[in-house]
Formats: sequence, structure tokens, C-alpha cells
Amino acid sequence: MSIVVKNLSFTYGVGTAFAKKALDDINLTINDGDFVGIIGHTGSGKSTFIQHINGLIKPQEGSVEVFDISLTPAKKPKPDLRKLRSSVGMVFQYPEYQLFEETVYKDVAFGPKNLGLSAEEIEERVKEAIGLVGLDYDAIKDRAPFELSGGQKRRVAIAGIIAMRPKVLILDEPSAGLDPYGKEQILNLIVKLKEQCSPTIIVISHDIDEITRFASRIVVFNDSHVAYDVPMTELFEHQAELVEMGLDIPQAVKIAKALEQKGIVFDQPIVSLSDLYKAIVDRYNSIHVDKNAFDEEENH
Amino acid sequence: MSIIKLSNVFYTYNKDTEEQVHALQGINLEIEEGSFVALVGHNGSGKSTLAKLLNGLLLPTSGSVNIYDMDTTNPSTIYEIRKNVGMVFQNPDNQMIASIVEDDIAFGPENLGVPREEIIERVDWALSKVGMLEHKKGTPFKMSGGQKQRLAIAGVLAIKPRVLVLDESTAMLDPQGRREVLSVVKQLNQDEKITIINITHYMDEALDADRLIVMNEGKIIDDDTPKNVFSRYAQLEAVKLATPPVTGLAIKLNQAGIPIDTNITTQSELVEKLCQLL
Ligand SMILES: Nc1ncnc2c1ncn2[C@@H]1O[C@H](COP(=O)(O)OP(=O)(O)OP(=O)(O)O)[C@@H](O)[C@H]1O
Ligand SMILES: Nc1ncnc2c1ncn2[C@@H]1O[C@H](COP(=O)(O)OP(=O)(O)O)[C@@H](O)[C@H]1O
Ligand SMILES: [Mg+2]
Ligand SMILES: [Mg+2]
Repeated sequence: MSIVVKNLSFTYGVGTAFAKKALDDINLTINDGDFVGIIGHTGSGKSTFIQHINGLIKPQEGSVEVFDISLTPAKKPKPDLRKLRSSVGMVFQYPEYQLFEETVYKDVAFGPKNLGLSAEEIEERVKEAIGLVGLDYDAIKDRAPFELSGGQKRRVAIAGIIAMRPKVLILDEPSAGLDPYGKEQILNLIVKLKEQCSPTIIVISHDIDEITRFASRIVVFNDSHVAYDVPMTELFEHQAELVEMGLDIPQAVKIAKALEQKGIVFDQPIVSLSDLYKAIVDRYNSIHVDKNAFDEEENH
Repeated sequence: MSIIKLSNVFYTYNKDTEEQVHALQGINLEIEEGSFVALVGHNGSGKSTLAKLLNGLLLPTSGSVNIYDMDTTNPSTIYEIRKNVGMVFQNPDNQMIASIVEDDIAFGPENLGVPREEIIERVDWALSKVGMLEHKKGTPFKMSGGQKQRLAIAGVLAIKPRVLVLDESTAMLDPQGRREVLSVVKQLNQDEKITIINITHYMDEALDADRLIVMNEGKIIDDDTPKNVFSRYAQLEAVKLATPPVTGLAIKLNQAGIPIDTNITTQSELVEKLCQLL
């Protein structure tokens, strides 16, 4: 087990007029090798939750265990945050606001440098990471991060985390603001990273269609609680509740549902657009092939 | 009538230095009063640069930008231009100034020296336009992303602009927040005849517009109805864009030999067609 969260609650601005309970008694276990998608309305507590996992927020109530590191409200013993952050890499929501070095190279190199790697290894990792996120290393390495476009900055920020090769990778809305090609690249990148770099991945996204592309488990946050924690294939069963929470249901599910109302029912479960595509092609071909066979018989 | 006119506009950041970037390269564009335009393009294609030229936040390196026949390089009319062209940006948190909603909305008109009485009227009007009147005495900090973004729009509306430029204003929102903002924007276009320029990476948002402009590397490469632009999907893909998901599915099905039109853009069209085929 990578991460065990028990009875975690958190309130911002305790004791002020702006006090806001962001997490209310969260219990969740993330296993090694999990590919988790987190959805939930803005303000439901998603970002607050994941910031607990890499020690950016100290628990007020309850506990978080990440590998052998324990995070609790207690003052002592102090958790080894450096170790924690080298195993849990976190790409923040709008990470571009955190680019601060004067060149892209230096920004991506920041993490690996902190790990105490050799200069050659740092360069190799920076090159690889920049290539992985789809930027041209030679063209961009000496540019100032703050002069890049929004999407370019995002990629640089992701590269900086990938360069640390963390065991658990958490991405908070990694594709927001990217062009369709960039989105596609980031999604493919996430899948690739799962195989080649970080075996456990957690992605927060508002785009349910995006999540259906890769996640095998989905966690739904609603008003500071975990409303659902189900395998992706069971998402279909919770449509009505998702809509009630103001969330989208996958486009493929909507289409399948509309077809179902017209009497077209597929045998296989449909969650992603590629499931739907396959189901339609299969059905079309089976009707078509049968019909051809029938026509041929008639001709005889 | 064209109220926005760009003639052969070039914009270069850090001109004549080693880091110069040719962000816009020969833009010619006219936008009619009251139209609803969507602007798409890959990251770095120049959309935000173009947006900032529209209210004189940036001035063209060469060529000219005219808003209601006022040139943005003319300092004597720049305030008039800024009053007419309102901008809403991506991050709702960076656009809030005051801790009480009505003060936040009043900020713009106060700066313009609008009389007190009229400010009060404008605040109520702007808040009601975005469906947030009941939150007048509330605090923006506690609101959802969609609510904050609607407040940001109200803040701009209070200046009474004739043109509203939204630069990825829905990118940070959840689906509900996106729907809220888009419906507010559509209504402002229909009821108030405010000209809308919506910069977005959501191709399905572009379907709401009357006109879709496609940028690639600082140039406009397509400008047509959304449906026509999406029918040229190969060209879109070549410039790192895509069709709306429904169109994408229709295209894939068509390529698999299923006789289905590739210019389908809505779910109901698709479902209807599939019913005939399956
Ligand atoms: N302040 C700046 N200084 C130097 N170059 C800049 C600056 N802002 C943008 N650029 C460059 O100008 C080009 C156009 O950027 P712009 O921000 O207009 O793109 P965009 O289409 O809005 O992209 P995105 O979809 O990522 O928001 C890019 O190459 C970008 O790196
Ligand atoms: N730094 C902060 N200070 C005060 N309140 C905050 C802060 N960050 C988040 N909140 C509040 O906590 C709640 C949960 O926020 P967040 O975890 O960011 O949600 P999500 O990521 O799901 O959008 C919201 O009501 C939000 O306004
Ligand atoms: Mg968040
Ligand atoms: Mg931009």
C-alpha cells in the first residue's frame, strides 16, 4: 500500500470569520499500481486532499501514511519531508505560477539538483523530461519561463516534476488550458509515465472524458467528503448522482444512454469514447454482415 | 458594422533582441458589432497577444488596430477604448480586489469617475446579469470557481463595455461553472448585443459561436462558421487542434466504413443518425 488516509479533516482559517471546512473525515487507501482519477466540483476539497499527501498541509485531524512516513497532527517526531517529496511528485494546479528560475533548463533541473545527482545525470534527466512533455529541448532550454505561453509553461512545470522520477505521481488538473494536441500529449504522457516512471498515479480533472481514458478507479469528492470510490467500469451506475452534484457524465455514457432510449442496447459496458466506438462498429458490422449473407442467399 | 478592425498587424515581443518572438504575423480581421466569435489556436499561437491588442494593453509592432474607429496607438482615446473592450481572464482568483462583492464590482466604475448613484445602479444591473445579485453583500473568496468568474464578468460589465473578450475564462472551472459562465455570456450577446470574443481550448464551446477563427503560429488560417471549420478536420489536426468529441467520433466511425456524415456536431444529430444505421 502506498498511501493510507484515516479520518482526515481539515479547516482553513480556523477561528476566523472565513473558517471553511475543506475536508471532513476522509478515509482512503491508494494501493501500489493504482491509476486513480479524482473528480468533484470546484471547492469540494480535491486540492486540499492531495496537498496532504506530500506534506504541504499538515493534518489537523486524522493521519496520512505515505510508504513508511507518517503524517499526523503531532508535533513530534518530525516527518522526513524531503524523503516524502522525492517519492511523491506533485504537479500543482496551475504549476506555471511556480516557475521561478531564469531559464527553462534551470527550472527543470531544480528538483534533480536537490536530489544531489551528478551534473551529467541532471542534464540527461532534464533533456528527457523536456522531450517527454513535447517541447523542443534546444529551442526552449535557455528561454525565460515567464515569457512562455500558458501551455508551454505548464509543460515546463510538469517536466520539472518528472525529472525527479517519483514513485507516486499526483497531477492536479494537468491538462487545463492546453490545446487539444497538448492535452492528448499530456494524457499519453501520463499513461507512459505510469508504465515507465511512476507506478502509482493520481490525476485530478474536471474532464470526465479525459479520466475515462486511463483511470481504473475513480474517486468523487463532494462538499469535503468522498462521495464515491468505485472502479471506472461502475461509473455508469452512478450517473444520476453525478449529475446531481453538478458533474458531467462521460460523453460516451450520455450517447449510449440516448441510444438505449431508442432501443439500441449494447452488451458491453461503455464508459469511454473508444468503448462506444468499438461497440458501434461491432454492431454495425454484425448487422451488415448478416444482411449481406441474407442478400446473397436471396440472389441464388 | 465592423467595430473591430485589424489591418496587417504584426506583434513582436522583445523586438531586436536575441529573444524576440514574432507572436502575430500579418493579422487582418474585422469583427461585426453584436457577433459572437470564438477564437481557437494552439498554445502560443498568439490568441492572448491578439486579445491584449484589442484594448491597447499591447500596441502593434506594425499595422493598425481600430476599435470603433479609434486607433489604439492614439493616447487621447485609449480610455474610451478600454471602456468599450472588457477583458476576463483565466484565473478567477487573480481578478478579485475587494472582500465584499459589491465593492469589487464598483471598483471599475469608481475608477472611471462614474457618479455614486449610477455606480449603485450599475452594480445591481451587472450582478443581476450574471445571476449573482443575491450575493451582493457576500465575499468573493468563499465562492465556487464559476461564481467567481461570473463576478469577474460582472466587474467588467459595470464598466459598460460593448465588447467582451474572454481569454480562456472557463479553463479553470468545473462543468457546472463552465455552463454557468457560457450561458451568461450567451445571454449578454443576445439581450445586450454585446460583441463576444471567446478564446477557448474547448472545441465544443466554439460551437456556440456564429463565427470561429483559427490561429496558427501568429496567423489566421481559417475563419468560417464552426460547422464549416470543423468539417476541415484534417487541417485542424495539422495545427494541433481537434473537433468537438461528437464530431471526432463520427469521423472515426466514417473512417471505419460506416456511412455517417463527418460534419455532425451535436449528440442528438449523432444519435438520430446511428438509429438509422444500427
Ligand atoms: N511577455 C512575453 N514576452 C515574450 N514572449 C511572449 C510573451 N507573452 C507571450 N510570448 C510569446 O508569444 C507567443 C504567443 O503567445 P500568446 O500568449 O499570445 O499565445 P496563446 O495563443 O494565448 O497561447 P495559450 O493557448 O498557451 O494561452 C508565444 O510564442 C509566447 O511564448
Ligand atoms: N488557502 C486557502 N485559504 C482558505 N480557504 C481555502 C484555501 N484553499 C482552499 N480553500 C477552500 O477550501 C475548500 C476546498 O478547496 P480546494 O481543496 O481547493 O477544492 P478543489 O481543489 O476541489 O477545487 C473551498 O471552499 C476553498 O474555497
Ligand atoms: Mg483544486
Ligand atoms: Mg493565452
